[in-house]
Amino acid sequence: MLILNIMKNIIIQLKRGLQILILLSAIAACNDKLDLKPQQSIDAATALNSVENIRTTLVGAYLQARSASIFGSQFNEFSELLAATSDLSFIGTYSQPREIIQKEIAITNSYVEGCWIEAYGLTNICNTLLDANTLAIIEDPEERNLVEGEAKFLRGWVIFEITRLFGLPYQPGVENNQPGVPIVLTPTWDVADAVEVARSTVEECYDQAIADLVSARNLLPEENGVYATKYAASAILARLYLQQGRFADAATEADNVIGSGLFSLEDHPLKPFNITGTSPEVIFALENNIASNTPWLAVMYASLNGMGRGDYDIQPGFLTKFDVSDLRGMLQIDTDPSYTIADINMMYYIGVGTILNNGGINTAKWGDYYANIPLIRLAEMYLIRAEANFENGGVLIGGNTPTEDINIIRARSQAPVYTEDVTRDQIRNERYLELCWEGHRLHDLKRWHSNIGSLQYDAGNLILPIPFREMQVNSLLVQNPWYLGQ
Amino acid sequence: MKKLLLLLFVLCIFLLPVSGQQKTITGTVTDSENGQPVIGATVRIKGTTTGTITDINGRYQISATPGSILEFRFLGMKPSEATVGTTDVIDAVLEFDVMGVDEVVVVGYGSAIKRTVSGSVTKVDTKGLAETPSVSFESAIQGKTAGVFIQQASGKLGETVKMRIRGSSSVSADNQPLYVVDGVPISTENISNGLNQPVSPLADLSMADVESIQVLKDASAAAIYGSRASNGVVIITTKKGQKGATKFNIDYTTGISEPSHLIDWLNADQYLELFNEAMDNVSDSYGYVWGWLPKEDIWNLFVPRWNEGYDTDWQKEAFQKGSLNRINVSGSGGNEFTTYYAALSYDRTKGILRGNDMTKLSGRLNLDQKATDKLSFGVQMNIMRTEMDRVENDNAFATPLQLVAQAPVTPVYDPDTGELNTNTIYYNGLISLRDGINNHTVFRTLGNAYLNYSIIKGLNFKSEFGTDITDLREKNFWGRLTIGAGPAGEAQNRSVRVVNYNWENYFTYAKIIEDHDINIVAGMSYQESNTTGSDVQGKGFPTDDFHNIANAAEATVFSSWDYGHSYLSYFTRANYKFRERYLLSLSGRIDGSSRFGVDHRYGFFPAFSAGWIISEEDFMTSIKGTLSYLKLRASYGLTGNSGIPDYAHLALYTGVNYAGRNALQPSQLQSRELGWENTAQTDVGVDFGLFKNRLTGELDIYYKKTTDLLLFRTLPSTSGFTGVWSNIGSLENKGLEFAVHANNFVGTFKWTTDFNIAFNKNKILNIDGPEITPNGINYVIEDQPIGVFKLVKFAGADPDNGDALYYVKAGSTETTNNYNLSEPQIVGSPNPDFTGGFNNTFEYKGLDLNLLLSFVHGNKVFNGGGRYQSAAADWFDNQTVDQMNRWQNPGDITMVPQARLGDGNGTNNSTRYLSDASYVRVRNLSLGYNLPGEIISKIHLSNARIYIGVQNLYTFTKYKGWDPEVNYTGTGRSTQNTNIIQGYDFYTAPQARTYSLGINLSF
Repeated sequence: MLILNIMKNIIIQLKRGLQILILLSAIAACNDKLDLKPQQSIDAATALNSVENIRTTLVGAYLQARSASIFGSQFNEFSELLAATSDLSFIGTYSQPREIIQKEIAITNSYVEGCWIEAYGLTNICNTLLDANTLAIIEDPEERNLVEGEAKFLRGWVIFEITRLFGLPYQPGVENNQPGVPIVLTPTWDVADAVEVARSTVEECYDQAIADLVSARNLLPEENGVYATKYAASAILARLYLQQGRFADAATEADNVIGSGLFSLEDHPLKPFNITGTSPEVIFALENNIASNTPWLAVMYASLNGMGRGDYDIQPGFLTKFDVSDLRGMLQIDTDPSYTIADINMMYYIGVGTILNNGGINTAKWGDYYANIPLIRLAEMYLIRAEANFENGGVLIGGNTPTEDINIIRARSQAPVYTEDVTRDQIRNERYLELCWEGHRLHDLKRWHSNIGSLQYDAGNLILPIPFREMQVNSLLVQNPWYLGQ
Repeated sequence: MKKLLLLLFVLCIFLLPVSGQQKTITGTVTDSENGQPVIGATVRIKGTTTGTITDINGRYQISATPGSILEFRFLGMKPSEATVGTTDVIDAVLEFDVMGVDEVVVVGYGSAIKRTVSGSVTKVDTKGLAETPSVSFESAIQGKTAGVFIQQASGKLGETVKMRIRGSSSVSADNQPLYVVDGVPISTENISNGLNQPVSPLADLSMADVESIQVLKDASAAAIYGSRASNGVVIITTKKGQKGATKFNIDYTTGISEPSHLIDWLNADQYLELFNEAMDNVSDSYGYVWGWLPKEDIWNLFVPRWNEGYDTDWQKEAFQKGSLNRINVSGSGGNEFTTYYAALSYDRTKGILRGNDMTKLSGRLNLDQKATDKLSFGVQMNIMRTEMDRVENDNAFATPLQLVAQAPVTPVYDPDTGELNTNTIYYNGLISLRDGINNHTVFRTLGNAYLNYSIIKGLNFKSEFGTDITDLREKNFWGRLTIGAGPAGEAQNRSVRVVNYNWENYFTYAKIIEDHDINIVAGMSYQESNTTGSDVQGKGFPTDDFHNIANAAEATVFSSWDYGHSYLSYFTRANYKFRERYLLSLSGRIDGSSRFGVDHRYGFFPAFSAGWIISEEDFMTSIKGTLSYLKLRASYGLTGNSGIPDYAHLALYTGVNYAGRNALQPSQLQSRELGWENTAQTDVGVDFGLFKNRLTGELDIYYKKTTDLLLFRTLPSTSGFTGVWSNIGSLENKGLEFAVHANNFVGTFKWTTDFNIAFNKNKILNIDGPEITPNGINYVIEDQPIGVFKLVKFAGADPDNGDALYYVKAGSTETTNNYNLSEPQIVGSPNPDFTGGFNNTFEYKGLDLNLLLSFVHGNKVFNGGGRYQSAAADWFDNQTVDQMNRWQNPGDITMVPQARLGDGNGTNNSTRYLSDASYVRVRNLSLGYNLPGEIISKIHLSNARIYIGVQNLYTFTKYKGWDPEVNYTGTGRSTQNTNIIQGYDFYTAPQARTYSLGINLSF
């Protein structure tokens, strides 16, 4: 009996134990429940493990280049605002452009910080693509040349641009030991790769930009859809050599582009702008569309129905620089608040913006958030060839005299052509009239050693400060003297 | 291994001997005040050592022979006895013995009498919560709890409220506490449109349903929620039914509201005077402003109709008369087996800002069923709908308060057309209110179901499955005349769904052997949260009457997303009590999070605490009349934080779109070693009661140190990345909290006073890298509190020429007019030195009067709008009246530099726009009247009450802006930036002052 009772008790206990075990099994959830994978992103290793993904990452480099902080807008704004004197006023509320136009940039200016960050973001993408391991995945040599060429084109170009903005002007014929920007040529795969890098000299920066662009020119094909071509690389090289005062080289590269026969001037100077497709005049543009765009140039320059703040106000005096017949200086005054860029057919118009600041004079070059951003036009190549031949003297490269080249540009805009040999001032003035608001002005004035207002061309406040943020994390960086009160 | 240990542990418990064969008595022990089950009450056969304790439902089971006497005891309650007779069920009702210290507090996975808790837990006074005309429950409890700093960001409806329990414990990870509603950790992440300010998901909850709110502050109390307990835990329970006839309750509140404070702006005459002067000061010798145009032309160009004699008070246009209407209806009751609470509430609040409106609808059913003696189950189900008409973010021209920037000389309506004036110096935001839709609708289901099984006496198993499903729809429309939406209008449809579920299984075991009282909890939980969403935007509508994407000519945005995170956790806690006076608690939790690298997923969070109720000791008996209650307690424990973005440890490339072409871009650098952020907290506290607990209180000091900070470490951006998630650095919070509750008068005239004050000092110890600043104003700097203000110090106007002067560097009186040559210095903190509240309640014959003050001291606020609002006419924005004190003549000593249009004279960020934001606020003043029993019984009511109140009656402060309790929460901000950017005002709306009137009926 006793034994039975004990047995019974044991059985009862076991039954309870079983109950507990069943309940406990509920507790034993699976560890793999913690393995959640992202849905909108992929792992970095996957991103560069196939030719297709590498190509797609390369497209990402153009998107990066389109960032408003760099090629998408602010390379243009830094140049035009720092160069602005009586031709343009800033009438907006943002403090960043106001500091720039006043040439009193705070070291914490977020445009400057953004420019630095995005420029190196682009460099890193290019470095990632140019890494030997990445390129080794691409077996087809043509395909590999394309990736390497495009990445080098973007890297060389961005190094050139930031060197001009953050470093003191390049001086022809001497060793340019003034600090440029840090040169980073290796990709960041891991935190350990994120090391401090010192500024290279301006000379070294130009050398690197040239090396990349020459390589790009040699690797890239003549045509490449919306992406970089051999001639885009040549055009930037022409621009760079001109900046260095290497006139023969500049003329040669410009002539290389003009001579390709692939490009031609539009019949109206406004036509290369605000377009969604291609223009024979445009050598390279960044692509925008309605769902993916960098609208910032139009945001700041335009004043139209639903588009633009009209912050960059062109001064009436500027328009007097044009001949009355010159299409590049025409002002459309019959505008009303319903107007979009489609209703604008002259180069300038009275702003009608519903956002801010209407009633001023606005350029029509940047009038549509969703249109492409032309960054290199054939007109610039003629101007470079003309100026470079003029300065170079000697044998004309490309056959045309400077006067002939200048007249091609003028004739297209119905400006009276020059009947006598053009002077240096006329060549320079033509550049101003043709390329205004496209981000060339500051760099041209520096090349020409022209004053900007009362400032010398090499004044310390005509270059950007190394961003405060970056100074904080990189002990190797030295600040530009003006920003140290020197 | 962990699972095996757990198994052994549980098996050991159930193999403990079971007592012999006698008559089995069961029953429930409840308290007399609100009928809540008394958990852990001792049930003992008098004169023997045989006893048991009640479970979490207050139930017990004991074997006894007829005729023996059962003794029910619970600390802080009067003992009760019952003789065992023929019935098998003996229920007991215990009365509270003394006032104050013996409330029941809900802690993680159970509840306890506060007296026996050795950790730091505060139960928030929820009395009158339903009567408070607050939109969110956080604001309703503001000032009531020591060490809980609550800051409403603005007077906009439904937006996030900052809550910091014992300071900020993280730099880059989340600093908001964990909210647990009826056992379910709810979703608190903002999911609204990143173009506007964040919305608080807590705003959906109906306050009328809240039974209790407790705040777990120290590591011992919170560690049972280890993984996310570093910021403290807020546990909310909702009302349950009680046995008895159905009881109905109707509560109706109505009210009106207005801005609690306005700013004085220039009128038309002052405006003209100041701006004429500002133009003269920048004109050349020919009278050309900036050498460009004559003054009159500048006026015409920038300020249309400046000379037509208008004098508009634009500030008035930003506001509307707010209102509030709220009705709650509930029914509750039940029988021995089933209890229920069902409630419906409707709450319509019209905000003080034009166009701001919120309607909340909430239905709830809480049902508890006792199926057998061993098995009970229940559900708590809450369905909510919150609809808001929002206004644009504070940094948009279209937001109502930016109307103050308009010139007083311009009219609101165009006199030619009679329509809203489109020709103002800035975009006229009223157009957006007329031609725009900004609708935000949330459907939310908060539900949980539990099952409770009593395996053997003292050993229970509980399984609880909870869900929190949020469905957000946002519909925005911008008419063709609104800012940036030309030529033909734009619209957005956005929907987000968050499915958050939580499954918990745990055992509780309670046993009393002689003087030993053991209570053990052990179990697991799994939580997963998935967010999916889509966003479609289009532009180009036939007319403004079409608002749907279907009618748009073109799609501008088409996007969807899907992300999630999960936690897997095992936890256990053992409480041991000896002779009702020595308390010991040990807890441990292992948590795994999907957010961390594979090898660093799991964290272990142990805690222990001890308490000694000295007043129970024999040697204290003699002074018990004076010192009626004294408890010492101490705790130490670790808690964790994983409040970082999902997938933060992975190296990622994001799929993007380059004008219609697929693209990939690196978006995040890998952080393989990324693991838990740990906070170790030590707390020492004293609880006391004096004069038979007429005066009770508690004092805590604590030290919290957070190590392995989840920090978005700044990298040199030459690497292509600006930062990476890392575990580096440490910070500390140390503080003192003190709270007293005094029953000054008892009897017919009752007067109670509650006072609490908390000091917290936050300090960044190490961030192993450069200073972090998202805005150049608030910083993370070693040896300084998080978000400390580092700014150039403003020195006023140069008496000689009116230039803005700045101090060259800290500790120097040397000044310069070159902003770039002035070194920023540490000039204050957005974190208060101390905060607290002072609450007084007077009761006399059915009348009650409540006065609640809350205070915050020692913090500063930077007015980001100052450079436009108080800039001595730097641009055409209307200016605050104090700008009339500008420098005018050599020798003038003033803090307002010379007025110079467009010259930026002193407008850079500096201490010019920093001010002290300490305040004392009369947060609540209310008067209620309970109708006498004889009257209400005649009309068949059990209770009838009317009340009137005013919220935010007055604020004592030196702050010059609208409201010192302010923080512009920004748009699309990262957690790190949210943590750091504090005390920042940017056209941010003041809180509402609300006058309310209500009635409450029960029958």
